[in-house]
Amino acid sequence: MVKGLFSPGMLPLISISSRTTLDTPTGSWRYMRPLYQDRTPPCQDGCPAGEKVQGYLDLAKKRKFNEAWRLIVEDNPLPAVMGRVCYHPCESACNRKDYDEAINIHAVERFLGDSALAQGLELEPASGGERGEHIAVVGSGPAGLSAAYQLARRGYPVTVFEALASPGGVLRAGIPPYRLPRPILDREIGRLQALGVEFRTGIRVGVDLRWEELQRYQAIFLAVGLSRTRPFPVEGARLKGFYSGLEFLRDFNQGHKVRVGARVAVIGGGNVAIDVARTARRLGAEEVSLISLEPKGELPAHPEELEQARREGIRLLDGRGVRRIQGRNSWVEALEVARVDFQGRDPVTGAVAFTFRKGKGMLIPVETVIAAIGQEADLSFLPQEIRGGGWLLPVDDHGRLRDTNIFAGGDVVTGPARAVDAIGAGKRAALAIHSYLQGVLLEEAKLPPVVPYERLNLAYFIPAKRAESRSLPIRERLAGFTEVESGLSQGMVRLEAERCMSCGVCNGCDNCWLFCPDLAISRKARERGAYVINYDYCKGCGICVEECPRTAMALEEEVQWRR
Amino acid sequence: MARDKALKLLNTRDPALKGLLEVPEEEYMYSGHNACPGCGAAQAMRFVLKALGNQTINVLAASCWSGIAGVFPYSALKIPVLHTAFETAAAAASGVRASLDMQGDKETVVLAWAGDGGTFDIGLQALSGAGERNEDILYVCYDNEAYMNTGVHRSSATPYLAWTATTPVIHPQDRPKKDILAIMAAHRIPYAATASVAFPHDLIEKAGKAKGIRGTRFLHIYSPCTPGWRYSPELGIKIARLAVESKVFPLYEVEGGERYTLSYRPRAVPVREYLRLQGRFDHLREEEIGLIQEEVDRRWERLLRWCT
Ligand SMILES: Cc1cc2nc3c(=O)[nH]c(=O)nc-3n(C[C@H](O)[C@H](O)[C@H](O)COP(=O)(O)OP(=O)(O)OC[C@H]3O[C@@H](n4cnc5c(N)ncnc54)[C@H](O)[C@@H]3O)c2cc1C
Ligand code: SF4
Ligand code: SF4
Ligand code: SF4
Ligand code: SF4
Repeated sequence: MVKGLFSPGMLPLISISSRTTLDTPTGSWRYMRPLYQDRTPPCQDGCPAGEKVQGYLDLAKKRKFNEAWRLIVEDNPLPAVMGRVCYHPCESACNRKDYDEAINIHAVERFLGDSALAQGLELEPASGGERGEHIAVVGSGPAGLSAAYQLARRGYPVTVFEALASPGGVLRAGIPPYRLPRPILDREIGRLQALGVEFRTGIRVGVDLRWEELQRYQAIFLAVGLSRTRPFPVEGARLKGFYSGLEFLRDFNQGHKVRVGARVAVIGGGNVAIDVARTARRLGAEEVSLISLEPKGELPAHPEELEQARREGIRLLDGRGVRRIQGRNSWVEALEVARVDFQGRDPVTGAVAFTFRKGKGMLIPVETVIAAIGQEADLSFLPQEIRGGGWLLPVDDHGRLRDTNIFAGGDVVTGPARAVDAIGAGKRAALAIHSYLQGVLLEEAKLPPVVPYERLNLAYFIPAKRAESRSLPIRERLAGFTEVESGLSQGMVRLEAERCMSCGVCNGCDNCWLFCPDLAISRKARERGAYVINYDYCKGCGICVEECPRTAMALEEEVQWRR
Repeated sequence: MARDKALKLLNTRDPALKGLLEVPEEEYMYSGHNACPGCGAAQAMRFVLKALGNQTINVLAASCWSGIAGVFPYSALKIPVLHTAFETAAAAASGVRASLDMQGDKETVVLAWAGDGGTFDIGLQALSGAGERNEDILYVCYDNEAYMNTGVHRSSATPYLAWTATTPVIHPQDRPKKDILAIMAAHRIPYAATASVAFPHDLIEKAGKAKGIRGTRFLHIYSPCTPGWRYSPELGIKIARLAVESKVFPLYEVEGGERYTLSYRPRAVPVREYLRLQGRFDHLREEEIGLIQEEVDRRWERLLRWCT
């Protein structure tokens, strides 16, 4: 206050206000009402595991790396693994891609996963105490691991049966170590063990353990994936030097000796074919050709994988099919390929339709041929009435086989999909099993609507380049199986997290508070969700809603609230 | 420090993050004031007072703000306000200054506050006199480009071709807006600047800078008016932002009447985007918008020359 102005005896001889406008609650003028209302960011919607991406980016931005990791493991127990192998559909959904470039989400996830491993953080049980019902999980791929984790943290004893010598499914037996170093996988799976999940490896249900013996478990989750190779229907597939892609990777990844010649042909255009080709290159093959029925641009392989293969000197022969494999003294000698017209692929069975064009093919001399033309489920261990007649397991919306205590998820239900789909399926199945066992109704997690790009107020963002991880020089890559991507540094992760526009989720930016002409918003706590609108004075101009950069507010008609 | 660097790189325009660092928490205004919903003038006062603090006396000329500040016996401000006649903001402020000086109070800021009518037209003589004497006052003109309080009547701040109640569509404003900053610069006062409610950080920074200078300081604040400009109230800040981004209302400072500095480099949005949001420009035909664009570009080039 200005000194002396109001001191007694000094009042000037003019009228002086004695009260404030707080006495006049102008909120009565309002016919529109602003509200704080978070929406779903598209990244979260795009992640089949439902990771709260915006949430952990926001925490990473504030250096709260451990809390960020805790948020991820609510939905996915393998952040360091998924940060490496996931094809990140979240990034294809990210709003920022329409502005400049999508947030490098998987790289942040990988960093958080690695940082938690470095600090030895452990998974924690959710509150709720221990439970008596014992659950069997068959198969230890991402679907099995995810379900086992979600059940174990809810207090259930869980036993995982795995046919191979160590757990991981495709993560261990398929994906090569230059994309996923094994110590990372070992340590993230080790955490599940520490949480109490029991792993019984080297046990193939149906062979080493009778199916009936699983009946003593209160619920069963089948996550056996697609472990059988589809036979290659071409003359010469019996020759020495011919392999199936899945078996080739499985053998190599389990430490068995695998040999390739100097010239290798890989048949197939999917991710498995690329893993095979890149592995063959590292095993010493000098010329590796990838032969795909699909023309370039229609290959099912992830574009990033295709690009890496190209850089590693792998030659793509697209739009071509194999007529026959030519042998000599029972060894592969050459491959006859010819141009084809590709007509399409069945997304579930993977069956392809194509016709050879007229004319002579070409003969490619090779020592090794590896066919990666698709996998199918091996359901022979299941009684007929459970497995049904199809390729895959028939389940209802909750992943349950009709009228049984048996649930299923992952590739064995969907056909060939992505690891993150399996993580999501495992999580959902665990919830379904939980509600089945407790006899409670499954709560449908209703998420608010997703914020589209058009709803953002772009005035508050400025273009910034996406942080990219560095990749190993080609020569060093081919010398062995060292990891190709080096990941992001802590500084880069924070810069990348700062790029996140926090679509639909209030991040405490203060805009609403700042622009309110009526001082009707308080931000005392200044934490997310702690802004308060004083409706005694809010006139409902809507500026706060319009200037929220991320649509974390809504404007509704006042009459709805007056009724 | 890494955070500061990141802010510089990424979010220099995100009032969000900048705000966490800069906007003072304290308020010197009460809710319940009489401004229309979404009023830019209310925002302008709130921001300026955040920079000046409570050691301030407001000399308030007749304007919308006379009403906003509350009818007797209410006041919307936590600082003393002297209501005064339309043409007298600068003269009354000079008097208050002299009185404070006599009491040995050099600290208290005297804030003269008037609209565009009270500044560009009616109060210009008093303002010119104060500026010429280099009175130690801070004069703020909140500009909503017409006499809004009397019923949207044209002032010499009304832009070319705009509709007002006294410049109807059959006879829209036919003169360009008066260049008040050039007039004030010609007085060689120590500090004159433009500011906009859509750029609160810049505005608060300029008010703070003006506070630290002695002599006549002049702030010209662009402040949208919902009923007068005929737009839906939530769009006020957007319109103010587009005025800057389209170069219609550039943000700059003039020190000592000569040193011109640009405060913000606009994204160069076409004026059409700015005009089309406001009912007062609804009647404009494409060729008229073209004329406005040409004039805006010409004046922008001239400003750039001065700024170097
Ligand atoms: C080579 C290859 C590379 C891939 N790369 C990627 C990638 O980079 N990113 C990505 O997102 N997706 C990738 N995928 C797809 C992804 O790995 C699968 O979608 C995912 O692993 C499916 O998980 P799942 O848990 O359903 O099955 P799986 O991972 O296949 O696991 C099933 C497990 O069940 C075991 N099992 C089978 N039958 C029995 C039985 N009777 N008793 C006991 N155990 C049994 C198997 O041994 C296996 O370990 C790749 C797939 C392959 C083949
Ligand atoms: S798991 Fe995959 S889709 Fe989900 S957030 Fe991580 S990278 Fe994105
Ligand atoms: S910008 Fe951030 S919140 Fe928005 S979609 Fe991308 S990652 Fe999610
Ligand atoms: S800006 Fe203030 S007055 Fe306007 S709607 Fe929001 S809270 Fe209400
Ligand atoms: S403007 Fe900022 S602080 Fe306000 S709701 Fe939106 S995100 Fe939250």
